[in-house]
Amino acid sequence: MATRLHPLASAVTVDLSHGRIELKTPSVDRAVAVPTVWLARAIAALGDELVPLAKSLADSVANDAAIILDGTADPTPEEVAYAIALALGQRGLGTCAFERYGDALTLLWNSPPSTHADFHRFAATLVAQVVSEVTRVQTQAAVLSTHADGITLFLGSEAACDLVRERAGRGESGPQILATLLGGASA
Amino acid sequence: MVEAAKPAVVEAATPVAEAPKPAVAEATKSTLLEVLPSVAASMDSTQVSRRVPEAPTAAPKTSLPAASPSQQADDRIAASFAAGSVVSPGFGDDEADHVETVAFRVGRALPKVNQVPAPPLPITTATPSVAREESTERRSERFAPSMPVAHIAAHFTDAAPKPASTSFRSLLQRSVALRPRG
Repeated sequence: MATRLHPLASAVTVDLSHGRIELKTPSVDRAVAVPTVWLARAIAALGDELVPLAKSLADSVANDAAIILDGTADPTPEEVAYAIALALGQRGLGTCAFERYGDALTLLWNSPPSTHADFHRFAATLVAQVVSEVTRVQTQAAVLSTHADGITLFLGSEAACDLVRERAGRGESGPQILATLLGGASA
Repeated sequence: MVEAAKPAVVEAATPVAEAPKPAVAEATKSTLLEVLPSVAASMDSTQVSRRVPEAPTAAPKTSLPAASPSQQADDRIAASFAAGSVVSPGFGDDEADHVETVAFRVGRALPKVNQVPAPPLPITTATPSVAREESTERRSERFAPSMPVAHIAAHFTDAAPKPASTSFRSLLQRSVALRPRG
């Protein structure tokens, strides 16, 4: 975690004379500011094509998170949360934290671009890819619940994520779903 | 010197606007001659009469209304309130300072630090329910970023090392190992 000097202050540059916004994270990327409502609609309209888009963004986020972790062999949850939160935050994508309930691990995505259902699949794909790349543990993700300004995603196997999606789709609360999941056998 | 002159001034000021009569001055002089010959020897009736107009006049006192001093203060404060002006405590500068100091001390009578209730933990609405429903065997934890993200903008020197925490990878592996019932 030696890269805590990561220059967040210069992560976004607004060049009004040229009408350009640039992200310096750590490579320079051109950015365009659009309302997040538009973004959520565009993502929803992509259908299955959102998966490669999410993975492309995840590669970039995970790469920055890995740089921030600076080769830490076995990072703590706080360190991983910091690295991913910073990588997300530099792009205006919010921050994150992890929560654990029994053996179930969740990622709380604070201030995501959208909390709308149209955004859930994209969010789950992005988060799963980022966490998998940062930890090198193959992981899936599913939206467990949403709140006013955030999304809680369960991190686990494909089978468990299927159950989470199914129950969340039926309107069950996050705690109920986790209770069901944790009531099952743990391998 | 000042003390010696004071009795003559005060006595002369009692009739307020009138100059002392020569007979009164003479009587005073003769009395003092008996008690304080040395002082009386240097005393001259013309000096007394000359000093009368310079005496700190007590005339305003005689013209004060019959109301008590506290009533006057109340009236003055009420008038100040009505005029919308700042209310003076009504004392001299030193006394006003004293009043303010006392008020300041009273205002400082805050509870001790250890009596201040701790702020609620920053737990989201989604967090607690499972944790409460769970038995003590299934502990819940929250892993916030190891430092506030916003602080990165500052020139950050390394924070104090934190005690070793659980490996994130092992937590993730346990979660991935969960299998739904059936």
